[in-house]
Amino acid sequence: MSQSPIITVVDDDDQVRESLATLIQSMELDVECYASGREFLDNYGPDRPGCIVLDLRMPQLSGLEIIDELAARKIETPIIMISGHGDIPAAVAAMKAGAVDFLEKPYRGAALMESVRRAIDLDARNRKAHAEYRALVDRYESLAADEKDVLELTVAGKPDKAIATRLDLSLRTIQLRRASVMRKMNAHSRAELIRLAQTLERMTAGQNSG
Amino acid sequence: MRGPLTRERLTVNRPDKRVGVLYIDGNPAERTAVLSRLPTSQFRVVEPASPEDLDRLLSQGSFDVLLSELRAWDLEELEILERVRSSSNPVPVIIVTGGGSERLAVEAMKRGAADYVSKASGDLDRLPERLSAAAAKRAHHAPAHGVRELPDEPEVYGRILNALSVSVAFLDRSGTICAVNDAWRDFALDSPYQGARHGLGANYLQVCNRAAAERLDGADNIAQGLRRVLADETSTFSAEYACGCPEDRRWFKLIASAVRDADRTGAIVAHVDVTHRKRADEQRDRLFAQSLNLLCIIGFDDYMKRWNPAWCGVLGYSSEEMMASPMRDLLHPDDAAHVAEVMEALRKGRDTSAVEVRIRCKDGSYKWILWNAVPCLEQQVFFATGQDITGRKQAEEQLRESQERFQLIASATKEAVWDWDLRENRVWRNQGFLQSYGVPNDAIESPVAWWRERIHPEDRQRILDAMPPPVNDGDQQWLLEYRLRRVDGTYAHVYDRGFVIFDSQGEPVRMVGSVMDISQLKHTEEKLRDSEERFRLAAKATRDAIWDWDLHKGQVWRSEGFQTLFGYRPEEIGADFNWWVDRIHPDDRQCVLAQIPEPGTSHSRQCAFEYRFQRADGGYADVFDRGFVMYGPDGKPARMIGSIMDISERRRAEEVAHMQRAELAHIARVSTMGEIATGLAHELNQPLTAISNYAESCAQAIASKAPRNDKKLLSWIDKIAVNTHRAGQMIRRLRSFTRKSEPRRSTVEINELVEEVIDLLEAETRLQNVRVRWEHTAAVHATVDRIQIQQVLVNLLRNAYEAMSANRPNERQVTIAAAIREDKIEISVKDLGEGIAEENLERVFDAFFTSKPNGVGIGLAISRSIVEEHGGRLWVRPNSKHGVTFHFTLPLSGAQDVAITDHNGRR
Repeated sequence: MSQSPIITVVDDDDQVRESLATLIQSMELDVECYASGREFLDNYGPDRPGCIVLDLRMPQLSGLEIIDELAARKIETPIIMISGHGDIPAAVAAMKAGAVDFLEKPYRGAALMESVRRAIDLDARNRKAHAEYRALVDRYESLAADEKDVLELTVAGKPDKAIATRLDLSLRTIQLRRASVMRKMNAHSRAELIRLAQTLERMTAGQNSG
Repeated sequence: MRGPLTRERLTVNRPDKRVGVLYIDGNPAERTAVLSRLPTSQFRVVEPASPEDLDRLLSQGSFDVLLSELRAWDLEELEILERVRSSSNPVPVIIVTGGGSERLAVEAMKRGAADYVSKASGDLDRLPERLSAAAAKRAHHAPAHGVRELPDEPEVYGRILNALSVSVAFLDRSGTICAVNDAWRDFALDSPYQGARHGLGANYLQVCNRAAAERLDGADNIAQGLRRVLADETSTFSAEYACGCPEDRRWFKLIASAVRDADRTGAIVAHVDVTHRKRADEQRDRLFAQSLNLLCIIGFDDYMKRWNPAWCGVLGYSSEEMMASPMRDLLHPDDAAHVAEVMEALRKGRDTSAVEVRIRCKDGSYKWILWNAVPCLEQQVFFATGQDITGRKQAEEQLRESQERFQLIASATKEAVWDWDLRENRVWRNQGFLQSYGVPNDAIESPVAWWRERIHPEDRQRILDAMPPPVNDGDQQWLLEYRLRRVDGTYAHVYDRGFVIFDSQGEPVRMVGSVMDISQLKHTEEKLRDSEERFRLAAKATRDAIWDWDLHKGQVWRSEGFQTLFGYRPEEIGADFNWWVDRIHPDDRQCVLAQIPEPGTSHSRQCAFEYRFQRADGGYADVFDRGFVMYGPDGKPARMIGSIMDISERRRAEEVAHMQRAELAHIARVSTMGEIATGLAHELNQPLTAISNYAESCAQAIASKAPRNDKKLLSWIDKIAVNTHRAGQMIRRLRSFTRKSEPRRSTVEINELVEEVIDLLEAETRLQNVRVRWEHTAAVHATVDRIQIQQVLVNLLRNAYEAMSANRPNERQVTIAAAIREDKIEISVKDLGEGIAEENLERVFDAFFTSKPNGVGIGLAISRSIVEEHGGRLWVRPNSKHGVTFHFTLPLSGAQDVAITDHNGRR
């Protein structure tokens, strides 16, 4: 988790690619380069934090096609699109596809570096949130089926008595089960339990609709 | 994990399925352009007047998307995005802008815009789909969209029931009224039927039974129906009935429906006042019945559904007979097909005008009916009206017959016939006369004056002297021959033959005559004139200057052409050989004289030369002079005859065309360049980006505290230089291609020329993913206009790229080949594209023929004219498998370079 970030550059123009790598290195950041979208997709691993600087217009696979492919693979590394071809529809399409920024060549080095730094920060935040979500899912998955029922009804705001009636169990059993749920979910109060469950639900919905 | 349990909701679907659009735009012209793209069938557009208005509309929650310009009202640029986001009911925002830039677009998207559309027309065309897409996304995220919750509380329903104008009551199984709404209460109070109280607690079934017992209209039926609903024999029943006094009759519709709930059974009875509708029905029926016109409703099955009594009156059928046969059986057989066509057209929604048809009466005779129908697709019927026009038709028929007879007689004769009423001084002339000699206007000139004016001037006096013709009892006829002017201005030789009609007093009252055109006869006579005369005439007629040189006498006869073409007066035209020689431009004289065949020594019978010939005004005309030698009986040359043609105009036109072609070619190059420039701009930005990157790296390294590495710095600076050079090369190539210059030929190495074009298109080649194979020859030279031939190649290559744009990337290959064919070099450009339809293989070279959606179709036309001007040919052949190959040839300049062709692949 504490790995240093790496900037991935994808551009088919040798001069642009090499000079960009030089610039990034001179900023004391790690960089890796690919000369085509195919080469990039075949070799890229999203494990290391960082961001991707992607040329829009390349032969074979275009930048937009690469974004789509990354989305299909559920890779969420932030992407900065660069293009020598300034047109509004391309910029809008790139942003809609999920790029975090779009810079027209030739850009100011400072502008690119600022965009890169913001993308790295965003990536770090995403990764942290994702890790928290994974932990939460793991905790939820550790619940037994009847514990999940109790959690669900609790979140729906039902008083214990109603839950007991609904599940045809004694009030005492319900209270014991919820204590177990709170322990497993690592919640210290009923309010916190509800908040955790709602966070989980919201993020799961976000994952599925994305 | 399941979501929280949701309460079952009573939902009301919004009736309007259209996309609700809020639209903000302060530019009236652009606003119109945007609105014209949003059909009201698909979009419900509301334009908020102010930010407050927008908040109010948003809070209604009935909109799906907001379309806004960059700067809405006097808000900051893009501030609208925050405003909508912070509202209680946010919707997706699409920014639409006339100006804008890529930076703004990216900024808008970063700040949460759902989309960004430019007002350029191409983008606007896609606005509807982008609006729908944004709206659909919102629908996905906002489940409450389009659905309202209605509180599940009895008093709400009570309020709704009381708001209705329909009176409603709930009856228990016995028919007792248990509950009523306000309308019922009012209805019960001032019920026109005063015989019963039917408020709460009364038994409604008994009310009805009582009315039935009093034999009130329809009451029996209603009582029975109500009983059946209460007895659960049927679930619903409805009937209409009238009540009240005859002066104030009111009509009601009663609807009863059974209620079978677990806790209560009975029926709901509702009364709707339908008096208005009933009265309208009555009025319509009365009109229908009393109309003298035929009115009917005919089903699409061609059977009558309803008809008014006028039908039976006019045609004599009974109602049963009208109903029994389809419409087509009543039509005259000659009209049936046409009527069927009209009905079919109507059914398809086309407008047609009224038709006149014959309909058979009961007695077998036919009546003419002016028939007009309007279809009603919903009911599958026509509403038709008919008007009996039999009388009018018969009168028309008689008139037409007599006119036809008259026409026949008038046109039966080819001769021009006239009939002069001497007393009225009016002349009637037949069609033949009017056609040949024109239409006189008797109102402004007398018939005699009109005729006199048209007689050929040379004949006029003779004819007028002969008029009036000598007339005596025995001889009332005359025959004259003269020339009469035709309507087209030419003269006809005519025989004018006629006679005079006298009244009982012996006074002439009419003159009738015919004019016969005998020009054809005269023409044949003319043909017989002697050949010398004809030759002179021909010489006179031609625009060329004719000369006839008698070699024995040394005399030259020259035609009038020397006057018309060169301005010499007849007395100025000389009759000797030297008169001509003196007028040849001094620079051309030697050359022309050298080409004249020496009489007796040359075997050549013909000669032709172009030179400049002096006009009377001293200027020179470009002429083409062609002559041939005639030999005498002794076998020696006797005469030379020839003609001189003035080709100055043609020359000038050729020069102008040449200049225009060069101009057009330049324009085409510039417009091609505009297209290539898109690719090139991208390409040019590459070295610029590299330069910028290296420069920033240098700056970074110099500013850094780390020890300086001069070697590394120098290598970066070197790369800056390399990339600067690269950018410069690109610009130079582009500039030399678009340079406007006089067409200039020079000797060019062809392989080199092709390679320059390949370099020029490098950016586009790469972006389009095309592979270029280049099969060159050994060095070979041609004298050409370098830029123009490059233009031809650019054109062919770009066409090839475009033809392959739908191919998969590995199937985009262009093969350029050069090959020497005898004294020409042939260059071919072969693609693997979609090909050209057989019938278009030649048409592609026509100006403005294009298969490209955005093409003007001038490229190939210009290319062909360029190649042909160079003495070559440009053509296209389909390949055996995919695509086509364009070929063009250029003449080689000398044979010194012809060498063995070798083929080498490149790239």
